[in-house]
Amino acid sequence: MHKLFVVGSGIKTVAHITEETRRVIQNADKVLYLVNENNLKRWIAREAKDSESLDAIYFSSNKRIDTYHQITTYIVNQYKKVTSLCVVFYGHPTVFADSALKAVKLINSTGGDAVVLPAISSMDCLFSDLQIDPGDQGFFSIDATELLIYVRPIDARSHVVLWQISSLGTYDSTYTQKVNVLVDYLKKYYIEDHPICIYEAALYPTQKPRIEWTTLIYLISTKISSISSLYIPPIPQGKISSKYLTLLGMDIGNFQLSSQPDTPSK
Amino acid sequence: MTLLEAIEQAIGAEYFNNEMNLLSADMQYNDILQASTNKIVSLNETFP
Repeated sequence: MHKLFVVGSGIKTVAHITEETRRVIQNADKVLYLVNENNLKRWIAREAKDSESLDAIYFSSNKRIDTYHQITTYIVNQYKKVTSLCVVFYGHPTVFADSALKAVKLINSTGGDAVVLPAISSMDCLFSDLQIDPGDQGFFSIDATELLIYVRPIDARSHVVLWQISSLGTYDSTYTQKVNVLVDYLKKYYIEDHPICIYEAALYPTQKPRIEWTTLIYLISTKISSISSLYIPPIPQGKISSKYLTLLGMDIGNFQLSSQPDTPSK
Repeated sequence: MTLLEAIEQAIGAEYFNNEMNLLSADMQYNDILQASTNKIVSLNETFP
C-alpha cells in the first residue's frame, strides 16, 4: 500500500510550514521538493528521513509543459517505490503548480491513495497584509497574460488580483515590456486614477511585505519583479435586485449590505 | 549559528518590537538575509 502527500511550504521561509505538513515531512519514507529558497531546502533535508530535490528535472527542459509532465511522471514512479511519499512545493502545492496535482489525480484515478494538504499561498498573504475580505464584494484572480489573450471580462465590483504580471506576454525569463497593454485593457473597467497596489509577500521572518500603492495610470512606471502581484480594489457595490430579493424571500431590511469602499467608479 | 537556525529563531519576531530590535542589532543575520533575498528567483521566472 502506497500513499502520496502533496504539501506546500508556504511563502515565508520555514515560518509558514504548518504543524501538519511538518509531521508528514518528518514521517514520510521519502520527500521530494521543488522550492525556491536554499534555507528551506536545508530545513527539508534536515527534517526528512530521505529527501531529493526536483530542481534537476525542473531545469532540464526549455519547454514548461515538458518539465511539468516529467515531474508528474517522476512523482508517480517514486510513489510506487516507497510506502509513503511526500512532495513539497513552494507556497500552496496546487496554486500555479499543476504537476503535483496531475500526479494526485492520476494516482487516485487508478485506485491509489494521494492527498493534498492545505498551505499558505501568496494569495493568503495578500488577504492578510492588505486586510481585505474576499467575501466582501467577491474576488477575481487570474494570470495577467491569460486575462488578455482570452479577453476575460473583469467584474470591477469585486477584489481583483492579477498574477505574474512581470512575465506578461513573455516566453522566457525576460521581464515584460508590455505593461502598457495591460493598462489599456484595465482602462476599459477603471478610471485612470483608480488605486492599484503592487504586492509582494515577505519571504523571511522579520521582513516586511512590499505594498506599493499607486494609480492605474502610473502602473507603467512602477517597479515590477518576478514575485509581484497586482491588486485592484473594487468599485462600489451596485444596486440590490428587488426581483431576486423577492424570489429568494429576503427582506432588504435584514440584508447586510457589503461595505462601500472609497474608490471611484468608471 | 547557521542562517537556517537564525531564521527559525526569528519566526514571529516581526510582531514583537523588543525581539525585532534585538534581531535588527544582529547585522550578520540581516546581511546574510539580504544576500539570500537577492538570490531568490521565482520558479515561475524560469518558465513564465
